[in-house]
Amino acid sequence: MVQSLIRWSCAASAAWLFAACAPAGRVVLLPQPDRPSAVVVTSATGSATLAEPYAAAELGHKGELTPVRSSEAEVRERYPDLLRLNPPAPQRFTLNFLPGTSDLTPESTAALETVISAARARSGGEIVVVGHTDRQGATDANDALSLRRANAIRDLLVTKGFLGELIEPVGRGEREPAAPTEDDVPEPRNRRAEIIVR
Amino acid sequence: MPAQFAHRLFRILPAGVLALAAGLASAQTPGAATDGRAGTFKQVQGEVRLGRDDSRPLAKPGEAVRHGERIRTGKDSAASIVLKDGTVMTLGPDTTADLSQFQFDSTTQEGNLLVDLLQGSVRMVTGLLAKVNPERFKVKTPTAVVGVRGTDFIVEATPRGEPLYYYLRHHWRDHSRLRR
Repeated sequence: MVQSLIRWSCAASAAWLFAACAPAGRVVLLPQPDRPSAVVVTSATGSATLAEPYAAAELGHKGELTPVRSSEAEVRERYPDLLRLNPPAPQRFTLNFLPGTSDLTPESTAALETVISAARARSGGEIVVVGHTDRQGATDANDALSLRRANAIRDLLVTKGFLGELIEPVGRGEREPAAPTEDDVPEPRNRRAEIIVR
Repeated sequence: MPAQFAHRLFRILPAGVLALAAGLASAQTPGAATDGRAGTFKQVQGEVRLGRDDSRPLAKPGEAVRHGERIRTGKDSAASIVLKDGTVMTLGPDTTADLSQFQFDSTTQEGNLLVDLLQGSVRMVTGLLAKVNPERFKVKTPTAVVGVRGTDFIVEATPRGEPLYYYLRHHWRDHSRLRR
């Protein structure tokens, strides 16, 4: 009995000793297919840049930074939930307005049903409605106009039964033209709304 | 503007009046995304809660996360959240993280983000915010700050007070890869 107690406490104190060497944390850079990716880790004692996929840094309790190398296999084993719970990529739709109005074309009106079912198919699905204008008129006025267009579509989606608090209307004004033009040029292709389902 | 007003209200009002204040704020701006929503829960697994204690019900997909809130996951639990700018934040098991700062102007796409990871693990896949203002996108742990340049990364922080727990969790059964 006493013996097993001693054995147990030895094991426990060995665990404490090992634990003292355990890092206070770590940072791992994951691969990003379509854009260059890097993070800078800064602590009390210095900083490290991670710029290669699976480059990692271990953080000591006093701010020591140790560069280490992780791997796809290690990340999969150590952080299975962080990989599995990553939501699916957003889906995008473009809606067009009838010339000179804030009314959607019949095709775009019909597309709203597709948008709603896509959002309902996702866990915690949201709809972001991004309104755009052409470059005719002042920037401020176009910001307001694009937001009105986005709000109009939000209202339509709510009428069709989608929860308003999961719709985010955004007005991007003339900042992202589909067909770039000089300022103050009317361009029907730029009067549109983009829908992001995420 | 109404969102800022609501935030100010939240700071002054005692906790018991919070629900009422939120109701009033949303009544004044019907349906608009000015309810202070910084992000939305997507996948939720196991026991995931908002707030510093267990007074609020378990988080559900579609639920809002607001600026300044604490997110906690239990054992065998995890959650993913999409923030307004499209940043995807995934929290692993036994994690406590504060969304200490989040501002995002969806018209100009400017803003800032600060996540304080107190313990556990978090994965960030950055969105528009880190594209426009990378210098204002940070994840802090008790010992370090992680800044970004357009990115997908994991940050892990081990609670200092529980080295034995950490040891058992990460080293006990594994004889190869994780022991260093």
